[in-house]
Amino acid sequence: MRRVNFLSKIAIGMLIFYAANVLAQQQKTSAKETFCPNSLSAEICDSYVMMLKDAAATNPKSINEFKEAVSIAAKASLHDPKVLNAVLQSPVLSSKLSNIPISLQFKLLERESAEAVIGMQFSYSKAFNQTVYRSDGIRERSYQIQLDIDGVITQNAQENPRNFITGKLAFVGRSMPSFNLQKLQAGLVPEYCVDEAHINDRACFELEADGVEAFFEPMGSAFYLNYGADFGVETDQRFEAKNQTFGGFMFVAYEDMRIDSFLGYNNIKPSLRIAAETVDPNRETPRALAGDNSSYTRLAAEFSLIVPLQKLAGLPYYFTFNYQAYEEMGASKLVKTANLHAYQLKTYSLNTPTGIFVSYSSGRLPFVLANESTVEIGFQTYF
Amino acid sequence: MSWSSNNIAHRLIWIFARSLHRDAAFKHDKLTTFIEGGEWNTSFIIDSAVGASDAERQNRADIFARKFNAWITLEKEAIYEDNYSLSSAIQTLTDAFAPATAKLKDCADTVDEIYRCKGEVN
Repeated sequence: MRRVNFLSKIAIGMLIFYAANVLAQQQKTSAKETFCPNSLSAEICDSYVMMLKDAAATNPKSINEFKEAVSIAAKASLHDPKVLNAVLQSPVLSSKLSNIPISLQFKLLERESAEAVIGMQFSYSKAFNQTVYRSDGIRERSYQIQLDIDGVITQNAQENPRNFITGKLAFVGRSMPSFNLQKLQAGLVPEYCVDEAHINDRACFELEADGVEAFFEPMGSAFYLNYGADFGVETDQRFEAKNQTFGGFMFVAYEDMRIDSFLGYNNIKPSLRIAAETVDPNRETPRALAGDNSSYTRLAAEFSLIVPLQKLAGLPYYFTFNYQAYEEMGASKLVKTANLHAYQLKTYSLNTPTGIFVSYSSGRLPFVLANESTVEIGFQTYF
Repeated sequence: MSWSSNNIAHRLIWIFARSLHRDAAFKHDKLTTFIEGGEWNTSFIIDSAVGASDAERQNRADIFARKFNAWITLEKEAIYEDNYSLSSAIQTLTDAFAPATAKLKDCADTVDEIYRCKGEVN
């Protein structure tokens, strides 16, 4: 039987909180509005109705039996991340969670030879004290302090194929195009196109889109450059294995604003981030457990590519590719023999604006011993 | 305030997002509506690849924020609200669009807070 731990309790708590709010509304509205008011998503309504139907189908003989049946049905809902995410995004909960500066998303992780587990992806990003110190000419230069935390946690750490939580505090310098652009010629995009009455108007859509292209086209080729130093902590979800890192990085992204070039016409956007850092592991890391607890230098790289497929292949999807690599420099024979000196993770995906259509990733990140493959279809994730 | 076509800032961020992704906004002879547009993921809008790290997503969000800021202030003649400047506008927009799970409708009020749009009724 599946063990209900803190993640499950959080999810059950949210469902109960939501159900309580719905029941409170029941006294004020009609039955139809109570079950599926317009302000709530179809996923929540469907799940809620199905939960009650499933409970009623057990023919409960008392209110306690009915409560138990509802509880069992609620637990079953824990295996549908679409429902859990819809609950997270419901007006009732999102208004409560909006004060918490952490982004949350549930995932169902189906493993090949084990039971499914619920995973929760979390992320927090915050920039501080951004200061522009030069904005004349064609490039703008600025700096800021940046804090990023993200990871995925699951019910049991051993079942987590992405058991790698990172927190980075960075000093970032930026060199960006200055965007000293000119307003388009009057009349090219009629002002009425921003009116509410024309927001879904096809002609205005085309005019506004042409206008945005024409507005940015004078920039031509654009390079976005970030560089700096960061201090970070990497850990598994039990906070047992930890790396402290310190190093420098550089990020460059390219975008061609011209529509008469191949990359610009097809809206293809590559980017590359490279870093060199010293890593100080604690005694619980796989590397230390293999017998080498020394500090080391690591090279890290991340490459991303965005390719809209409509013009290129007539498909209504965006192809994305992300490649992350970590390589220990001058690794000892012991570390190499244990295969703990290099980690790579490749992710290919086809996306729509509202979510992943299908994605495939293979490889591993630090703290994960074996390579794993993942296929994600919509909200379902298969490991 | 929720995602509303009655709000000019909400309309402008939607117009900008769909203009950057016109292939996705208009397909199968159908234009994505304003209401549907609120459900677009910001990861898609800022051109962040699936599986990208937080740092990568943050950089992408920063680029999107700079482009939107240039367009809304120069082309659409919006001005900053009293407690915002160029730097704080970019920073706030970046923070709003960077999270992996955010949707466009989640960021709309942030846009409204930063800019006083032309024709906006106070």
